[in-house]
Amino acid sequence: MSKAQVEIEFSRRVKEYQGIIHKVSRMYCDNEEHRKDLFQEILIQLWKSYPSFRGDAKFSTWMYSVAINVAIQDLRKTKKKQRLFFQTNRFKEASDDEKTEMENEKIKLMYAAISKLNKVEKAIVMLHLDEKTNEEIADIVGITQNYVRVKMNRIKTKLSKTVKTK
Amino acid sequence: MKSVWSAVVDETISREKIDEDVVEKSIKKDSKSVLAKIKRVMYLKFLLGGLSLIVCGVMLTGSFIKPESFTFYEAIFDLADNQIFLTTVIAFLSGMLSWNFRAFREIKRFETRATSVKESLQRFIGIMGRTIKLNVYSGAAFNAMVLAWICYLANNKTGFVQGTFQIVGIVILALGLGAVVFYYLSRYEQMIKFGNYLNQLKSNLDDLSEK
Repeated sequence: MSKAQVEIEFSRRVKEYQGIIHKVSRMYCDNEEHRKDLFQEILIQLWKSYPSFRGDAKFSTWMYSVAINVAIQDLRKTKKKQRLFFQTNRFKEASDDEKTEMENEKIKLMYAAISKLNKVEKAIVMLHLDEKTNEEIADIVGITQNYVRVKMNRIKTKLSKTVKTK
Repeated sequence: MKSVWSAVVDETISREKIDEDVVEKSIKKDSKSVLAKIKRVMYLKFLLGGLSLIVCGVMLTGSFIKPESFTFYEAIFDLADNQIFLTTVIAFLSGMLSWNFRAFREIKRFETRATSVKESLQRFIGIMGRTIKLNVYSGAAFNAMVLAWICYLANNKTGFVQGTFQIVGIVILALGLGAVVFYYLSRYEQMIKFGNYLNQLKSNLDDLSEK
């Protein structure tokens, strides 16, 4: 297969599964500019490591691994100003006029809870929200299924604590 | 939480959906990742180091064939000094470039192989550690070497110390002291540059260790 053909095939597959990149960028980024940068960075890294995708794993699983790795290794720091933007305005980005105040409150609460998690916990909770099995989460993250369960329990406790205090 | 998350993600996807042509354009852009920046510095080192190596190699060869045309600073540098100087520069540059090349190859391998988050973090931390070491050791060696040569040349000009043993002593002292001082300075510089980032990565890896 020529390079151009590989590029076309890659672009088609990424278009099909782009939801994964959006999810990862959404989970890890504090503002729109940062989110776009991370999205771009993930695309570049996916392309660089595309030759290593042999098809013995699911394309979505492979894509998650690469995207989460890029997000965890991302150096950009969250500035205080950006954090404030994230906490106060971000839920507006996801909302539209028709959304009720209650829905907005739920989104705000979810982001408040997510912001308490570290990068690894964010990855696990995101995969869980995406209905990945413990086996798939274990494969992507590189830990045992048993430890996925332990981590999930810890994350749930952490999240419910945050929700209760709000 | 699941329903809220799905709603947010669906909304983002519908608003920011991209087509194949955007993907094709995006993958051709320059990466802004830490490794990409390290690679760009390495390219620069290859370029400058490679050029310097060629120039020094030509001058060293020339100094054996036609010494009068390839000796510089004749007032303080005799032919033997000149040849020793060029040999040390060549030895340093060869070592630095070969280490640089190995690190570069390792980064390339890392970038083109997708692994689990844990394995990737382990490999990434390893690469960062070796890159920091490369910067610290090459910085310390280069600066110590420069200091030793400055001391030697200053002594040649002023005649502060006479006799081969004393001169060798001064050079070794400058080299040793320079190596220690510049080692700590380079280490401090690298710590300021990458310390926090590396600690964050290590803490993420630690979080994946089963306990």
